[in-house]
Amino acid sequence: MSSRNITVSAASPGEDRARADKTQAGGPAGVEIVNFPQILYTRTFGDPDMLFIPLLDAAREAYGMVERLSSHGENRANAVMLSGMHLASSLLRDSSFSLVARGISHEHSYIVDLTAGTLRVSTRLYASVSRRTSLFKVEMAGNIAGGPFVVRNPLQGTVLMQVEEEKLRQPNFFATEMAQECLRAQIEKERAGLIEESMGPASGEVRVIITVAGNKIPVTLRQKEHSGTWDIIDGRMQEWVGTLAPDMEVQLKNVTKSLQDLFVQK
Amino acid sequence: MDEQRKNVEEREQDTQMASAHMQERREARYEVPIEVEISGLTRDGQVFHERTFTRDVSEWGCGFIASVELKVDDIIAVSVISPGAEEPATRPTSLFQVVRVTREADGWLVGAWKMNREKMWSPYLEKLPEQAPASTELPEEADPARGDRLERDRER
Repeated sequence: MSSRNITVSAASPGEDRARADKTQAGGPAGVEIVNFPQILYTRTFGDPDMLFIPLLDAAREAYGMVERLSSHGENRANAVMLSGMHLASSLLRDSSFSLVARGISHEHSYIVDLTAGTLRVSTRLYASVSRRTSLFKVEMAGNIAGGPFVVRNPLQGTVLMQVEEEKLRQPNFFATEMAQECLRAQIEKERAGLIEESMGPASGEVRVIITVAGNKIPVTLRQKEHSGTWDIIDGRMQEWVGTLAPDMEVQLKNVTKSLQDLFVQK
Repeated sequence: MDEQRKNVEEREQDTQMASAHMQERREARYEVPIEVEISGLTRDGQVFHERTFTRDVSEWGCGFIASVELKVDDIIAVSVISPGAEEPATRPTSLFQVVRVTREADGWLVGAWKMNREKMWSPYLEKLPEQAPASTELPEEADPARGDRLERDRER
């Protein structure tokens, strides 16, 4: 089996222009190979838009090597160690990598687990969505052999998105599409959380759009399970703005009742 | 408490040495032939296991002749074949980074630097007459009577 050199240098042939443009701004990163005594450190190529795909390809080659060595009679633990050594050597062949002690945190960190066959990435993304600008941490994990990668919010453990490898191979995907998508998902989750927190358990919901001074405003009327009262939510920011007056409640109940009757007859 | 502090200090020192920059790597080397097995993968992905003897060792490094051509920055596993530890699973093994390779008549002279803090050569170094002080630097005036001590290990 032939083994190619693993090169993450932006100047290497075949690298896309977008990656090459980020040579000076890739940022530092640590690559941990599980059970390896030291971390592979790069000062300039740590950005996931530069490093993730070359590392995934290198890890995939090493993982394939585990299978090949095991099938040739090498015991599994030894095969994992040898393949990890091969992966580390390949990365060290790129002059931007060096070995450093464990225990230091890095802006971007990558964990290659050749026993479990997984690649995990911890990084920060920057995005601007709906007038909200945010620099936030995400974790992404997936199988080296293939399949989608799952992106999580590391603080809450919630899944923000699932990405196919094909998309991850697009230039600047992490910095653009993924960052936007994650922030959007995060905002949605926060809104949903806010409503649940402020409203408590709800038993009914009515959504309307009203026009105020020429602006269309989404409004949600939500009934509380225990008290039966109706909260009024500003749909733009998912903010609680008041409670429906009792005489309005009666009218709303009449509208709801007539709709129920209509659907029963239908 | 003192013991704990000493352990922490030793660990910090070991960590620094494990990842020390090449120019900072200076320590006493001893000509001690220890039987070892070196293992790794060649650049075309073939596994090799080779038995050889160290030409010299230091706390963090070793030099040996290998028949397989290694390159600088290759990572290899080195295990000591000592009496009573012939089975691979029972041998003390450490990973080393190849830092120097020179062609010799009977193979390749390889200098390698240990990646973890396992003290592989301790049983052998302890047997040497006049054990050197635990220091990463040699005294300015080395004792010429000690034939087993080599020059400073600069970029092994």
